[in-house]
Amino acid sequence: MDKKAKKMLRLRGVGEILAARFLEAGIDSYEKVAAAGEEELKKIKGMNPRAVSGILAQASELASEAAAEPKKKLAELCEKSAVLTGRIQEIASDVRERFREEITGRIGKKIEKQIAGIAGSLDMVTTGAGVKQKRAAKGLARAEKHLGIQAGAGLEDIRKSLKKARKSLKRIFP
Amino acid sequence: MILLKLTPLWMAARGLLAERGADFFSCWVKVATTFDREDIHDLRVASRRLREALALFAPCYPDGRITRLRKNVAGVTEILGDLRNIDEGIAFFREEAKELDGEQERELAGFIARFEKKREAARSRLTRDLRKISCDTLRKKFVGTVHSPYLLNPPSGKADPFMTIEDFARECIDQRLVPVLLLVPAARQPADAAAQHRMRIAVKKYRYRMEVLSPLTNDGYRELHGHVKEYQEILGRIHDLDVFAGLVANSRLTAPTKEKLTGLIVGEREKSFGLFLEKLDNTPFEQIGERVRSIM
Repeated sequence: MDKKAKKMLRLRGVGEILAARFLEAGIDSYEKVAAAGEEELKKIKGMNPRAVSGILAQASELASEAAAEPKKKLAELCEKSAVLTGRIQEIASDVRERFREEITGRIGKKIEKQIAGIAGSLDMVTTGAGVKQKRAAKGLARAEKHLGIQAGAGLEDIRKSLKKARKSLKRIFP
Repeated sequence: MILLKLTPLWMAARGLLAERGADFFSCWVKVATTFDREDIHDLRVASRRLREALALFAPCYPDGRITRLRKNVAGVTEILGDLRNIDEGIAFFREEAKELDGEQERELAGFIARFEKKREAARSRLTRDLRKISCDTLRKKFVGTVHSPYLLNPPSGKADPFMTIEDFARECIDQRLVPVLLLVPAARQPADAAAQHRMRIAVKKYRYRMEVLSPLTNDGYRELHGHVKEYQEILGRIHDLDVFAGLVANSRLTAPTKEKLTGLIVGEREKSFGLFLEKLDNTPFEQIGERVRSIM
């Protein structure tokens, strides 16, 4: 059974056969079910006329939920991005406090570059432009894992973790 | 990005500059398609704000890169200048034409028609010059620079990347107020057009700096910004009138028309200058500066 048919099964009163008939009639989304109206739905073979109004009400509700979903997800992504932005600020500050001497060399430059890259990627989440939400959520989760650097970690470990976090985000926000 | 008063400077500089850059580049894209008078004005203002933001956060970045960016953005401001000035001139003289009649009105109509021809030429120049500069290349350069402020090893003489944006803003806001205060005594003299012009530029820079730092201000910002904007508008009007007086003096208009127009311009200048003095007495810059510091 394809994705669209499975989606139709969420409507109470619609089984596998009826879902297939919906698709045959070109009704393949909750919006289209809601837009079809009572008359159109009643024309579908096997449709119980008494169930029509209930199906329409459910379809309208699910359609508005589906419309709100991307915004909700983007808000969640922005929230996570803000948390990670705060995290890299803490890391930068911690590195400077604990490794004043060591960061004057190449390793300091490398860490700076990783931090700038991570911050740049996180900025792209908040603008929302061209963000594929599922991938973004995965990338952020991976970056969060890498940025969970333990207190007292050494400079080289911090650099490696930042590099991994940057890589996770770079795949999504180049 | 979410900007808090305690956000470290390195992070805040990126965010605030990115905001100004986004405004500038979106205005640029708009002008490149419409060439509308208001869109051109918006792009000029956006470019000036961006330049002010670059100047403000210059201590967070390597000098050379910021200087180059500022020059590039200034190039855009410059190529927009001609058309904007001509538009202002046309609007002004059209308004003045209502005060004239008969032969003088016809004469001024011819003068305006010459301006309109100049406008066409300026518009073609603008189209050509704007195409010469690649918006995408500048955007990439801008993003590349802005995203990499000094962080762990700033050279001496540069700002501490870990100071809070609040402290930095408090230190920096008055840098643009000082020249304004110094120019007030000279600008109070009606005949000192040069001082009034310099003060106009200084006020403009102060206003843009306030705007760049506005996300950090508390209640009262709008009122204070309104006062500074009003100063800038009055001084801008005075400057425009001086420019228009020069245009009339150097034009091929007949002596009676020149005299009539000059009289009208002088009258308007006196009125605007009166407003300027009134504003200085009622809302002096010392007071504005103190209040701006208090809301930061």
